[in-house]
Amino acid sequence: MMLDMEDRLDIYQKMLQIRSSELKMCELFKKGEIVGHMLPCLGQEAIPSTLAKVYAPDDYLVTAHRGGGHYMAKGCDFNAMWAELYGRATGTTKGRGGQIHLMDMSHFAMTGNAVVGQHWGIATGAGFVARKRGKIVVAVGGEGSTNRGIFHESLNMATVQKLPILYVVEFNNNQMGNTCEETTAGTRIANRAFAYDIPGATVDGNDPDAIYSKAIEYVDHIRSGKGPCLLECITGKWTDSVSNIRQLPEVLEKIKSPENDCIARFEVKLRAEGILTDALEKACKNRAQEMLQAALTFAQNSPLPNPSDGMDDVFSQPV
Amino acid sequence: MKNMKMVDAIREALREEMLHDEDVFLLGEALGGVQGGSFRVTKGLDEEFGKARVVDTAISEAAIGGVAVGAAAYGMRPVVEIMFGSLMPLVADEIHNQAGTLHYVSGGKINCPCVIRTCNWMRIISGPHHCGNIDALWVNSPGIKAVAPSTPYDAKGLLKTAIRDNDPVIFLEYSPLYTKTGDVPEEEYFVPIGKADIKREGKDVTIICYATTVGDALESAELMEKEGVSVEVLDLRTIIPYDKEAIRASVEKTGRVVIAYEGYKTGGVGSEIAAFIAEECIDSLIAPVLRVACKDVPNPSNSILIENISIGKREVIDAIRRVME
Ligand SMILES: Cc1ncc(C[n+]2csc(CCOP(=O)(O)OP(=O)(O)O)c2C)c(N)n1
Ligand SMILES: [Mg+2]
Repeated sequence: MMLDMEDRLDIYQKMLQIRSSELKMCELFKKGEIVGHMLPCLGQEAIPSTLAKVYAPDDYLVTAHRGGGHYMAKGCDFNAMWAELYGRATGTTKGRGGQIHLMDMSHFAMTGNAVVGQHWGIATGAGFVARKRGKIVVAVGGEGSTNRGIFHESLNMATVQKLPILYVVEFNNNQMGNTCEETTAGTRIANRAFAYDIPGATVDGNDPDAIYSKAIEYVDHIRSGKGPCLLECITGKWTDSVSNIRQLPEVLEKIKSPENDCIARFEVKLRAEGILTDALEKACKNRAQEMLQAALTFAQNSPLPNPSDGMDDVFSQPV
Repeated sequence: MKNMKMVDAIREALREEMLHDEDVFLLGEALGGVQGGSFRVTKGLDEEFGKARVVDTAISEAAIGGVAVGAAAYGMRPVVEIMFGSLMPLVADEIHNQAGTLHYVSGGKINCPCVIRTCNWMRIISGPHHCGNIDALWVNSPGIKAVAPSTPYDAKGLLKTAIRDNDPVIFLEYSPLYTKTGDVPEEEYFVPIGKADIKREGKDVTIICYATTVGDALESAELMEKEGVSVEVLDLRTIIPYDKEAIRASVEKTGRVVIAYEGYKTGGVGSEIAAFIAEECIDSLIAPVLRVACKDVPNPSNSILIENISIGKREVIDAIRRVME
């Protein structure tokens, strides 16, 4: 199946929203205006933006630590995300979790977790609920997280139980400085699907069309009750954006180059097909900026939590 | 003597022990290469000793812990790193069930001389999966030793001892202490496991502390001196097996005890120390034992909220005033 023009423009708009928001987050973090632990998905925007066309709004989405883009793409409360980054009481987790614990259950999204790989197990648990309720789970994590034992345990169990889960790997060949050459056996993560006899494939994760056509095929398979699939998306992350995770300069330069960048490439493609014009590009970019401005205004005008608020909610009822 | 940061003192201990014994090797995530350790503790060691002795692994905590136990059981001296303390539950089986029981359950025939280093991220804003400490788990694990130095001197000396020890030792590091400087001898030395250190002598109150709270205790002692209160600062250095004799001697001298530990209050390291004092030193006490510890709440990623649940000099001073009443 192919994406139609409207869907592709939606994806483009989402990519712009994520890019501008993540760039602003890095800028404000570097200035010290927002604090905490930030894990932007700059460079990887095509994956969350495209997956949003693959799952339904009430399907479940569970990601690893780099979940901000997925949170935004699923349509979770953008203002509340920005309030969270500012540590405000109106934040998505009341200013407690910060950027790496973004979640919005009103959109069935658990898009934050700082223990790499643990989300695979949680997603598998969500799979039991999804099977019962006629939904699917999209589970997303970095290639590094697939080297945790929990990844194998989850795929094995999901396959045996025929759980409706699309396991998506964002392969950026970087795990806090390490590359797969140093840490990972086998050439492709998707090859591991072979061990479970489930469908698995590797696609260009910077190309929405490539992601979509495989993902939608897999989602059809999953919805028909045949069990999980494994989709590996090759991408690259801007490791210099906040914390300076080490990456060879030439590798980083390549990741950021227009020939490789997901947004630049999609623009070229949409233009060639006559879908994107100067005026439309400008309008889309303005729209992303407007959304961001509104969210920033909301966040900056939101109240800070009271110091004692942090004592609440340890249990569902005070004990 | 030379003045150095704790991070460099730890690296020096690793280096000396690797030079001393070819069976010592390091294994963990991003120890070498471009990263050189998430806090640069192991920086440069891969270049000096090669990738076979400074092994970079995948994100595979359970295997890292398993390798520590297996390599130790078969005769090498692995020093493995778990990137931060909050990840220690991912190796809890390898520590608690495997390393901790091996010597005992093998009828005393198999040693398990491994060191598991980890860094507790503290006093930074990073949320509940990164920050805080669960040091208390190891106090509740028979067969496991755990050390938690507060100075570069103690860190180097304790790590060298830990690597040569024939039992599994958890070596606890704390992110705010890496840049703290202190004097370290030029010549080789060791700090024994199981021995506390009186970091400041006093006669009215004993503050029992370790790692990050030692600095708070010393600063509090300084301030209380001006109010005429003489505070003794007892740095545990080893949290298990802790130094009962040193605690007993200090409590007999002062009769008042504040225990400051930067973990969750309930069931924390200081809870065990308080119980020991209640059992064995009750006759020396002239005031109730007070614990200064973090509230039993996950660490929020927010400076306003974290302020309210964490501890520092202010809380230590409050407690000193209360035991002096
Ligand atoms: C279990 C665990 N081990 C180590 C870490 C430290 N850590 C945080 S991000 C990261 C790299 C993750 O790499 P990958 O899964 O490829 O995701 P990416 O960051 O590239 O998106 C590591 C090692 C952690 N948070 N959790
Ligand atoms: Mg990665």
